[in-house]
Amino acid sequence: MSDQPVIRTRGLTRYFGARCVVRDLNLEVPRGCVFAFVGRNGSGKSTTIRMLLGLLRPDRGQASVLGCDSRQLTPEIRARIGYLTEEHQLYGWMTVREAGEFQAAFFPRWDEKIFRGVIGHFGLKPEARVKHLSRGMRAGLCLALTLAPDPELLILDDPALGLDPVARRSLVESMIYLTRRSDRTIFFSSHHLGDVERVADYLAVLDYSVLRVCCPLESFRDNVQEVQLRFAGAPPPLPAIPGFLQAIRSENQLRVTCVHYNGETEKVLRYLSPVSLELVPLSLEDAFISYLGERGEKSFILSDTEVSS
Amino acid sequence: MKKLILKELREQYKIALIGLAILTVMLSLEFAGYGSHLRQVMSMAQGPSESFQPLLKHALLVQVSIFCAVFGMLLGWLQIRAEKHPDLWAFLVHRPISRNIILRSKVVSGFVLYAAGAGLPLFGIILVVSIPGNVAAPFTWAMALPLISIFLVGMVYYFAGLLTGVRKARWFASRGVGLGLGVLANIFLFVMPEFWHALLIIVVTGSLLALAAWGSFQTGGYYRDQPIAGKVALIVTSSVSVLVILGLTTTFVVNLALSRGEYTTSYYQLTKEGNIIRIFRQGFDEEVVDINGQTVLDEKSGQKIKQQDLQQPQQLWATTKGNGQRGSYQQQSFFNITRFFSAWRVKDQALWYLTADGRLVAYDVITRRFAGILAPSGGGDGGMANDSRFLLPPEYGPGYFNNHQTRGVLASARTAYLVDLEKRQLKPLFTVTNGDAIQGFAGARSARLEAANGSVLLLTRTSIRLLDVEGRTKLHLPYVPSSPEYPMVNFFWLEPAGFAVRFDPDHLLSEKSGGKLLSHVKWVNPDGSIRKAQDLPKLPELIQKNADRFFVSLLPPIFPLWSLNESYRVWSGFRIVPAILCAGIGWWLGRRNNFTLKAQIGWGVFHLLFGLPGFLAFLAVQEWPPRESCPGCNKLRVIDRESCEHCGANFAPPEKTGTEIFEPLTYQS
Repeated sequence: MSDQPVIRTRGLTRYFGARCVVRDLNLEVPRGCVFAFVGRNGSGKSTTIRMLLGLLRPDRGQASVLGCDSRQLTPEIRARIGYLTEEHQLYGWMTVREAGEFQAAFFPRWDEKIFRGVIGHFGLKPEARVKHLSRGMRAGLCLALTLAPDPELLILDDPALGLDPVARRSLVESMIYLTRRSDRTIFFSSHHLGDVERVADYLAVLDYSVLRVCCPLESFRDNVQEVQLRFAGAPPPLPAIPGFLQAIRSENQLRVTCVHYNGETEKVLRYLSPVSLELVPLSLEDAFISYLGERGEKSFILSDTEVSS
Repeated sequence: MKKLILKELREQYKIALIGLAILTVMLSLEFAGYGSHLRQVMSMAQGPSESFQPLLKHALLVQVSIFCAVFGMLLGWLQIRAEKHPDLWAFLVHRPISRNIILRSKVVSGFVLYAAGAGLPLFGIILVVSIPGNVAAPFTWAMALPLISIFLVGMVYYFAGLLTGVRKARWFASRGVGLGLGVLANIFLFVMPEFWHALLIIVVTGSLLALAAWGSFQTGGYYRDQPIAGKVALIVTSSVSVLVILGLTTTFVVNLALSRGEYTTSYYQLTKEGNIIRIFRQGFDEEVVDINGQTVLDEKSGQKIKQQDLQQPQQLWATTKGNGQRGSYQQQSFFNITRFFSAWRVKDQALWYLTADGRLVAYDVITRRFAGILAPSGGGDGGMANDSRFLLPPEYGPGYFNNHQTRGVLASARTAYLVDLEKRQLKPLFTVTNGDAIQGFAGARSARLEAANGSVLLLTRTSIRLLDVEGRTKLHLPYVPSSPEYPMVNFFWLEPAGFAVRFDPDHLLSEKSGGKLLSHVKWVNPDGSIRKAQDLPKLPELIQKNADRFFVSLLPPIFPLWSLNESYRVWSGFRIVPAILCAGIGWWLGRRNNFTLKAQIGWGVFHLLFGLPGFLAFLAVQEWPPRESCPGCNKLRVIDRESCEHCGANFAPPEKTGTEIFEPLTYQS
């Protein structure tokens, strides 16, 4: 098994007009892992994925997938990559069976068992027309079409987008099942942190086109922390805090979220003379929201006029 | 590939069905109207020859041409458009086959659908027309060539549609530049002399568009990263298309808006007294001058005389160029019906056609079947010698027949005949002797042409003869100046007595001689003696219109000078001005966008050769990356280079916020 990363980008940059949607992206995805690629809407996740697959040309930098330059992916390399698109678009006139037969004609390692297994898992009838399928069913069919070629690398672009919780759970179960097989690598983007938490080994976060996080999932959770400070009166103004993300101010309380909390950070906070200082554990979702939410201070203290109204 | 072809067929079959239905209705209506049209022409005893053969009817050819262009273009465009959504595009191209195979599948299925939608109805009408009893006119398979060429040119539009669909362009309208090449192919189609010429045009334009579509398909529509062949094809396609658009714009917009009334024309005319006058027209203004340039005044009123006030003498016109020689009507285009036949006369229920091989053939209007043949040898029994075919009369050319005005006279190389269609007999009027040969003839039949009525004009190698209806020679003149330099002869009946004969030079030979061949007029006394002879001074060159001049100055400098009319050559010199301007602006744009020196020089040479059309094509095909300020030198630099083109500084990595979390990733399963 090669130690080479299955995906590697160097300075990958893409503009749409004058707007930079992916800036100087340097990323390496190790083989055999489940890699979550998260970020807010418009942060450049889908653009990155399209560049990885050679569907979009980068303006600067380069990317390689399975050791091949993404701009020159050969048919052989493409056969080893499964790609699930964001909106699960398929040919509406096909039936589920026809879609499978169509796809099977191109992929030499097509596994009919996997195809049948996944469509069965999603309760799809082979004779159902694609255009009559619900969004969740279509996602299931897309997943079946992506998995049945038995790809070495799976790239899933927000596979759970628009799915109800049940369909999403089915999708995640399929992914969990897949991760338990061989050395397959899964690179997926998502907005559902619960899903990420269940399946991902690593996490990369794009924040307004810039990669800010690339680490194991636990590291992210460990590094983003919330500190709860209580004061006798109104909390004092905040000084500059290293790794500061956001602070929420209430009557006599200040909740500060930051990364890389350490002795130095604590020293700065203690300088505010709080009555108490307490580290609060964050869920991944909370950590993620704090990380990608609006930076700075928020206040929940209402003025007298606001209270009376 | 088979699966992809089936997919395409399944997705686009509806458009093919719609096309099939529209064209079938169009052709059926045309054919349904044929019978009533036939009856109408029979009752009026005149009409255009083309209306007798649906396959060559100009209006139908134009309609089918428009249909094939729209249908082909739409089909190509829809095949790409259906998968333009990024997800569907990804689903299409992200599979273990090359894009070449995907495109090939699309093209194969596109051709199948095009053949079904346009080819089947066209094949149907050709088949119907070929079956005796359906069309009361001669038929040969060569008559199907115009329709076949129109069908084929639709494939050029198909590639133009593909290119339009696949191309990504900053100016939306510039996506459709490929269509210009289709329009050009269509225009050429109608003027090409031979089918193989048209085929060559179709192959060249189709290949260019196919190559351009292929190149764009490889990159998902972007110009950058295309194979060099695709780039070249796209640039050539765009340049030619821009030129066509410029030409059409100049013709239809600038011409109408700026040049109204600028059109000038000048020609000689003979009055019934035998005086030569020159008519000069500029727009709506008209001036009548004599041969010395003096204004002609009305004798009674003293006012300037107008052309409409002049009474023209009766005349007969004959030419020696009606018999398949170069420059004759039959040679103009393979779309021209007179390549095959010309309707000649109507008699009882029979339509008589003069075929291009010099025979009279009859078709019964009721049964629409072949009804008889007349040829100088007394029948159409093959192996015809020179004297066993009719020469083609001058009225053969325009392909319009008129029972009321055309004398029933025809001539072979040696004998002029009066044709009796009732008895289906040929009555010899005159036979040449001593190795002479008849080269052209004309016969007048009209109550209005009192003096000329019943006269037959014969042009032989050596003489011009005027015969009466019994074949008696009324006048005999030497044919000097002679054919082939002077193939056109006008014979005038002057008042109170005498004749005039005007000899006009062959247009092509006159042009070759540098205008030295002048029209010549002879005034002839009633006894046949020459009273006077005179060459007519060369007419002034037509004044070019502003729109024409404007367009000529926009032509690419590479456009060959010899192909331009001499009168435009001065203006063509100005072509270098926009070319230099374009090269300058192109160089500046290249510098601004950090082109390599090689690209700069390449584009510079291209702009000098292709001028404004090339420059517009350059703007249309190139992608212009945005620019942003360089922190090193504060100048704007393009974003698709690894370093600043001004100071060489690399792009700075994104600013750190102190919230980054990076850890080495090593997966251990």
